[in-house]
Amino acid sequence: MERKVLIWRGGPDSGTSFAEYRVPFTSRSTVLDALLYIQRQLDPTLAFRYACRKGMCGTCGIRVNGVERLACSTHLSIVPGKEVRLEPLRHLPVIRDLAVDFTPFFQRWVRLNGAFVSSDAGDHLYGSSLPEPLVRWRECISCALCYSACDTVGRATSFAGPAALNRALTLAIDPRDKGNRWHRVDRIEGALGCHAMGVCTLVCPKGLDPATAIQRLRWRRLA
Amino acid sequence: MGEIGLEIIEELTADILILGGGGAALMCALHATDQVPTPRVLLVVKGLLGKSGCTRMVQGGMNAVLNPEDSLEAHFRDTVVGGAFLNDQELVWLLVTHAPRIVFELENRYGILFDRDEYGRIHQKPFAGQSFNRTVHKGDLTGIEVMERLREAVWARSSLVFLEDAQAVALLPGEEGGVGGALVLDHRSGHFLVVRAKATVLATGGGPTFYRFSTPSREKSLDGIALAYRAGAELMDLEMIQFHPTGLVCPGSELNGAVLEEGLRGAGAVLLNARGERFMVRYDPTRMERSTRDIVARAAYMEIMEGRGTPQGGVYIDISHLGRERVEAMFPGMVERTRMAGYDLATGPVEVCPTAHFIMGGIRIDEMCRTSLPGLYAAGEDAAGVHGANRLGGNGIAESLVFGALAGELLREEVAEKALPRVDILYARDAVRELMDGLSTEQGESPAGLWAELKDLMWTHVGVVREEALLREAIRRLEGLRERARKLWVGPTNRFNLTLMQALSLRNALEVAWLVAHSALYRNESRGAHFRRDHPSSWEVPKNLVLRRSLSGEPSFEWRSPRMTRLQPEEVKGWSERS
Amino acid sequence: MKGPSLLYALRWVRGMDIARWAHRLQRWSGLFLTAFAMWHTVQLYRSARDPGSLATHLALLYNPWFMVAITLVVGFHGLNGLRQLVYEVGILGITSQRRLVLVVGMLVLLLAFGVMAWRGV
Repeated sequence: MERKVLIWRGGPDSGTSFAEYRVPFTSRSTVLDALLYIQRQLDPTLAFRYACRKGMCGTCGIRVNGVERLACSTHLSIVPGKEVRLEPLRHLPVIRDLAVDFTPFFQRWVRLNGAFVSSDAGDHLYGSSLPEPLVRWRECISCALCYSACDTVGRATSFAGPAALNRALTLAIDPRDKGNRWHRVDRIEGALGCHAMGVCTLVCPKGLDPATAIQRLRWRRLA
Repeated sequence: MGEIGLEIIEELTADILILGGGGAALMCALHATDQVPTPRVLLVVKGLLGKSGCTRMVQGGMNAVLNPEDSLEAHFRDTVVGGAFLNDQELVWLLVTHAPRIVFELENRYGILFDRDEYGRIHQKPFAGQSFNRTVHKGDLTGIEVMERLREAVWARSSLVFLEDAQAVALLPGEEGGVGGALVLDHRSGHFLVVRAKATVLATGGGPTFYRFSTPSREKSLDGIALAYRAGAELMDLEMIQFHPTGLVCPGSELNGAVLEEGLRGAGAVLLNARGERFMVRYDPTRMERSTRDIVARAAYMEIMEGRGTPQGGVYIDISHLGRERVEAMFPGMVERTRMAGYDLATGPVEVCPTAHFIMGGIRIDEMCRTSLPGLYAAGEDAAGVHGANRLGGNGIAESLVFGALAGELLREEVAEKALPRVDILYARDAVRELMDGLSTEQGESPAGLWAELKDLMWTHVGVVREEALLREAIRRLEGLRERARKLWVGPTNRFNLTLMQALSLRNALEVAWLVAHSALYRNESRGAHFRRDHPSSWEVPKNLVLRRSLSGEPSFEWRSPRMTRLQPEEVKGWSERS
Repeated sequence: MKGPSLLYALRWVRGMDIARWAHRLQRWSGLFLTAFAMWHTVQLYRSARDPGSLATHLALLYNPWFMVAITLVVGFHGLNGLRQLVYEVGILGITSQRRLVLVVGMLVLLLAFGVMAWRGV
């Protein structure tokens, strides 16, 4: 079996150009397998990111036929249509081809004060579990798929983005954290800037729900 | 090759240069800058900070003595016995004594949250080879939790500077025969940088990816060990490579070799060969599938090599008898991964085979993380001595986090007194020229092709079961591969060149592979993870194999006694019967 | 990764996404309605001085196709706005809310058909 794969090629200043390749595949082949096949056998100049290849590192995020997905976790056989069109994630500077620079994604996270602030409890270990299901929302792998899918992130360069806000919620419910971030969250650059389109939740590869996390932040419904 | 900058574009300086971006590297960076005055720390990461590497991929958990019914002595003993007494016992003592406070730190300082039991205490699960249930974890993705919080902490600390998509290609000599920094290739710009540093820490995470089946993150290629070797540092026990018994068989896909956690066998999974036999009965009839990793891995390997494996070269693991719902509840991540690969762990057998997982050997260090070269330090999988001949599950991430932290704390004080060394710029320029000479846009071998050959060769000749004839042939053929790798074709491109990255990684992997084959040949005994079909028993007295690149360019080997300062083999009941 | 539901599958078609379109339409319909309200007010003020123009204006407003159009616009803007409000106060999760866009769409079409029937189109 073979599929036609179109890949966006270019650098930070180039226009849109798609290169076309034909890739053999089996029922187990993923988009990452296709990319590696192309780079190793057909075109050594192709640039893209990958690391763990099993959906844990959140490095290989790209857009497949316009939808944000992890390349390592997307089978070629489920991509509909005649061709597979691969483009880099949105709202991040392109280094080359599909490889993007994640810095703005993480910088917005930092600006939201999205890091744990220790209360220096020293030897004391927190005694009980955090409430479900919010504990599940700690499992974000910072893959930036939600960030790319969010239109508001593109339109408002100071908007923190779904992943950062999701983290703000998991910090807000963490009784050990002593950080001050409500002043960053309760504004247009924070939770108030979200237009509730919910595409972030739709694309999360780990099944998290940033849209609902933001909703809860808005209403301080932390329980 | 005009597109990749021939010049060294920039010279950077730092108090502490850390090569790596995983658990050991980030702990080192954070601990070095925890107090004022903070040294200037620069991290150089091959991929993305906190996302590449294998700490991230840890599913099991981290061992630490937290329960009053447990003891440091027990953890120590388990580790040394597991390591077949090849461990440096002072390093093991550091591991077990510091692991508990690191657990506290991870929770209180960095906000990591480990699972709790029904009484609200940290839950510690059982893991093979340990006398007490001491493995601290978060679900089955402890690594993600730890690395996400550490990543967050590093990004939030403005005093920490890091370069991503940057790879050190050579260590630079400093003063008095030590190391003064590194030559780094910045893949984003395609230019070289010279970094001068008072201390250079190798924390690149080992990563034996030169086997047909291997578990580590795909960018790993034993860079730290190769760099240390070329700089003349002492390496130790390189032949000790751990093969995890159950890696996914998924040919043609990068999922090949991805690990299925030990917990499966602990929960009652059975291993079957192609004939449907539970073959473990022939290798360990008492413990069957719950035997230690090395025994199970060898058993599976032998079944496959003797023709009782599946056509794709694996055996089967089957836990479906527990019932679909139970399996899905207990191992959600693994069920999903097997489905990605075309199997279903919840309802049927999954094809697996042994897969290269971890290298116990590496750069020899002392209890201050110092290597044999002044100015050069190592922590994490790059370092040797902590695990001896075989690593216990849960001790790997413990090693990275503990020794990363120790290195950071020690270096913070050390560099306060030191002056920034001068580096030999001519050496750096020569290194660049030599590197460029070996790469071409027009001719040479393709790195991808050589990688495939290397992986196949190592799998069949320096794999789970070794013997002299195959090892000698491996050495010969590795030399052939190294010769062919002198001129590599990297294609006409400038920045972020994957083929160039693969070429650099290949050279490091080839270098270390050759040393591994030599070491495996030298050690004509079987101990821990290293098994010689022609020498199946262990020597009475354990010995470390230390090697170093001599001035002639060839490695020189030496046997040394492991530091057995706290526990002797005779003190362990039944130890002598194992040999 | 999770498989495609209908709403998700729609995204595979170049950039089309139900909630993004709903958001855009809300903005455009809002603009249109603001412009219409201003124009309508201006026309009413004018008609005080010029009764003839009122008849023209009313004729337009009573035009069946215009009524259908305005029903669609007001209907969508109103019902979608209600849906957004319901989401923002925290009733129902995001997936239900996205499904509600389809419900809103269907209701609006029903309304429009109703108007068409009433005006004998």
